[in-house]
Amino acid sequence: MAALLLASAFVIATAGLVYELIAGTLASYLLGDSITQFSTIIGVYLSSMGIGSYLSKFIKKDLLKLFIRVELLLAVFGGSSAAVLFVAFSEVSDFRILLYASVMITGILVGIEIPILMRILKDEFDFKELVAKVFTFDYLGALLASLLFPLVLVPHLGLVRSGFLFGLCNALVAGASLKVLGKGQRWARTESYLVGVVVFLMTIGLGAGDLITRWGESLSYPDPVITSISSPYQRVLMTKRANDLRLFLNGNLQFSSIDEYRYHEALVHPGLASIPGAKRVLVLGGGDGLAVREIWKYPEIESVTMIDLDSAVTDLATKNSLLLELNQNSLSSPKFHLVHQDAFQWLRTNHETFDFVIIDFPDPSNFSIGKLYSTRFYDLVKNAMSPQGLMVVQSTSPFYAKQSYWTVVNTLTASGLKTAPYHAYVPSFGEWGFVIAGRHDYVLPESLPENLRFLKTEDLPNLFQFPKDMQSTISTINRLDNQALVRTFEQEWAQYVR
Amino acid sequence: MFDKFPTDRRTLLASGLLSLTACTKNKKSAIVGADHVSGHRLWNQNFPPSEPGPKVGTLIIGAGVSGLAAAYTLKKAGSNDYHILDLASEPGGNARAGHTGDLSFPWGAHYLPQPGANNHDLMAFLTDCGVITGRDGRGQAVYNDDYLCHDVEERLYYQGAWHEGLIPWKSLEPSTIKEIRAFFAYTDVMRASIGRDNKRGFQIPLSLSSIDPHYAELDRMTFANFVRGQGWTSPFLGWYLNYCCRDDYGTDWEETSAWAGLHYFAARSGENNKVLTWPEGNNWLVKQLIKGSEAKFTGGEIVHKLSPEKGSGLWAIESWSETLGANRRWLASDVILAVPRFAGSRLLPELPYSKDMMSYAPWMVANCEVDSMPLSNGTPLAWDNVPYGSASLGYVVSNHQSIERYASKGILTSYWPLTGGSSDYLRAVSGLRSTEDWVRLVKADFEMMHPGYSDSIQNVSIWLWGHGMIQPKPGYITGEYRQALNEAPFPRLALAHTDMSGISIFEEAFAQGLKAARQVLGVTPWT
Repeated sequence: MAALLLASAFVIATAGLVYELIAGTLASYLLGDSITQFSTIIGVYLSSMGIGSYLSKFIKKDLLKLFIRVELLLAVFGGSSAAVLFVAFSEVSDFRILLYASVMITGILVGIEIPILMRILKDEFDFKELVAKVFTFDYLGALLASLLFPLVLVPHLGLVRSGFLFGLCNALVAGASLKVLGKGQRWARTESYLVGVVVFLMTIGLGAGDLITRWGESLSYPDPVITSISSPYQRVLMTKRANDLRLFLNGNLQFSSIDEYRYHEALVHPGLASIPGAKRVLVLGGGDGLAVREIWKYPEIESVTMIDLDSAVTDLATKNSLLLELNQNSLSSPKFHLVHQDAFQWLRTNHETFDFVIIDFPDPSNFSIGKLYSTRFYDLVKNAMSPQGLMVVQSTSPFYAKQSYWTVVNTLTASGLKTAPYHAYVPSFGEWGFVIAGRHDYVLPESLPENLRFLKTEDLPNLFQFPKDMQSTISTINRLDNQALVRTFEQEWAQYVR
Repeated sequence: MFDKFPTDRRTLLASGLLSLTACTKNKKSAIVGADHVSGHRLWNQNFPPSEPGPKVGTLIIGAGVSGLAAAYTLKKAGSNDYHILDLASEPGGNARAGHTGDLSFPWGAHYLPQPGANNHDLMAFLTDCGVITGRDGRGQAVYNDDYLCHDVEERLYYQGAWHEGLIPWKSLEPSTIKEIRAFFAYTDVMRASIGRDNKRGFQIPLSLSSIDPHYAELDRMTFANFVRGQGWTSPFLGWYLNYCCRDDYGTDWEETSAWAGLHYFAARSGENNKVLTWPEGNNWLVKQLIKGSEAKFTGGEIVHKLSPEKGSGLWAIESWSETLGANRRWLASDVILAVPRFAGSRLLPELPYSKDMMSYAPWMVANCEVDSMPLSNGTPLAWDNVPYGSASLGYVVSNHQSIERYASKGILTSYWPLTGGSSDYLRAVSGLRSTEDWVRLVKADFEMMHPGYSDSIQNVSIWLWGHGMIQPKPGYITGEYRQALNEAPFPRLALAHTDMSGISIFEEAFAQGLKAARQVLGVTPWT
């Protein structure tokens, strides 16, 4: 009996600290400022334990039954805390209240446990033995938790499942205590049902596939995940911390609201502003609507056609309030036309021509996307361009993936186009590259739309200057039958941890 | 394509055609390809008396690539007075294709390597049909990107992982790598070497190759013995070269002539090593060859007798039409006989044919409809996916050339040259296997490469080629027997088939057809 209860002390202490660490980590993820979060959470947790210890004096009888009850409550509250907090984050108005309430409840329950445990054990040992034993296991449990948490739990299970795992441990401790100590008690039957229910709930939580994965996945993002959708083509995910809204496709950052204007102004204006009388624009990719927002800064634009394979992204861009605010509802214009199709296939059957074509695809990180950077693809885009038309291609980083960048330039040249490579600094991406290509030499625009935040007309020539470490290298031509770009890109990015 | 299976298995095969044998979960599998049945009528020679049929300038018998290349050449020369007959209802021979929904897939030949610059006839044809779109600054042919095999072209499943290419350089022992390099160095020498008759040793078409006895010596031994004789004994090189023989000739390297084994490597220039391919395989080329001659093709015709008509100087050709249910007697001034010799000798006994001298490789091709593409460890899905050490050649992704980025559905074509015994024995064994037997073999092959994947395979259709292609066994290519095969025993009869070349590839069939058509047109054949 004594051994079982001491083991319980050990498990309670481990689980208690795990819950505290979960709360601290979650608060750092979701609210930022980890020093404040951890110190307030530790403070609230320890003081709540004090409250719990104080409250324990009001427990007069049925010590064992109450021990089991408290243990089960701890399993439910502590075990589900991470899951509840994750779900609640985007739902509740004041997240902090919920967070500290959760930490307090857990702290109070842990605080009640240890004194009750000592009272149950008081007849087994004399006082000095009892205090020494219980606190030894208590503090050793804390050590185990502090090691398990960063080394095993977070990397392998994630916060949500770690919570449920320790909830399950608490429930099992309750079950074991009941079985060994509660034999013959009147209330044993009711309690054993309760134990069964809690064990069941924790197991469900631990095993629940998709939801847990979704939450678990959010751990690989530095910021809280507010939306995640699995489309047939990719995983679409948005995170938000303070005023930083980010979109990820298959884990790759597409924009950060902090600096996306730099990227999108650089993508659209050097090309579009240079085409006198441009009326029709084609956007390939770019389903977030941010490039289109820049296009509407030219009132003379009569139509914008977007080809984006994934309706999950464009739905987000037309329905999610945060993204709508950012793209200024750019996809709702009557002048905007949307086609959900593979750009390559659409171009094969297209007969329309456009004055400006924006090609904003993900980086060429696999053979499927690599095809959209091939001579064959650019031939088709060329056919979709009016005689005075231009295209602009987002073409990865000329710093991190120098050879890849110049392969794109080279491929456009090989398709019989005149190219104008340029770059801009986007803090969340690093130094980023673009290429303008057309049938004629590119001429810098005389003016840019007003109300831009990044580009100035007089600074434009600088974008077309490449410093020594980004200058043109010997590079191949990306064709469907060699996919040189994907191979180069893979090698180059492998050298950097993104 | 004519197939012959032991007669007593005929009923079994016929029932295999009709019953769509259900496996599990409504998945359907079947043996397709009806030629076995109609082919046997040719052996029985059990036809009613003939009635008068159409009269035509040139009758082409056989609508494989040889026959269709002849038709293409006649049409290109301005001739309009020709007709093509074939046993099968569709033209194409070995290069036939199937379709399901918007997907197409090959039943046999499925690619063409970029031809060498000196193969002018083939280059001209490829230009006619838009495969070659022009010339670059250096005068090199520019190919249509849609038809050049997209990257990744091929990969090998070796020791539990996929490796790009067919040689997993990083996983091989240094001694093996040394042997492979030595082998390739040897083929480089052979590629450049010129015989005493001033011709290159190995050429495509094969008839352009040097007849210097120095090369003919290589035709007297098997490829396996030749390679071992060089001291190259590593198991990997042996597997690889055997794979190449089975892939190109449907023949084990222990039975392939060393000349033919080397031809595979030395006849194609090192630079132009890319291949042209289409979802429907070489049936795409077939459609280009027959373009404009579609109305001159009649399928389901069992031509069973060919004889010079006394007095008129015309050929009388008796053919049983399955569709008309009539035995018609066609008349033609010229005949181009473009069928394999084992069948040709049945219609015209004067044609030399010896079963001992000519051997045909049996093949099985399985087209597997899948509802998802296999996931892999290592190099991602390629066009050609080859498992090391398997009895199959692996599988080809028929929709590889589709630019659709997220294809889920697709058709994987699994190729099985039936080797490891005499071709008669293998034909007999393959005829005994039920549809389920074949499906199990194919699925096991996929399971080896992609554990757990066989559940994604929905329908499997099996095609058995009883006499898939001529086998280039030692002595056949440079021997006198093959010389004699090429000589037509009658005037106004032109012969065209790859079994007279000894190597069954598109380029040979094309050259055979051109040669025969030029003979009819009175143009001196290319030498």
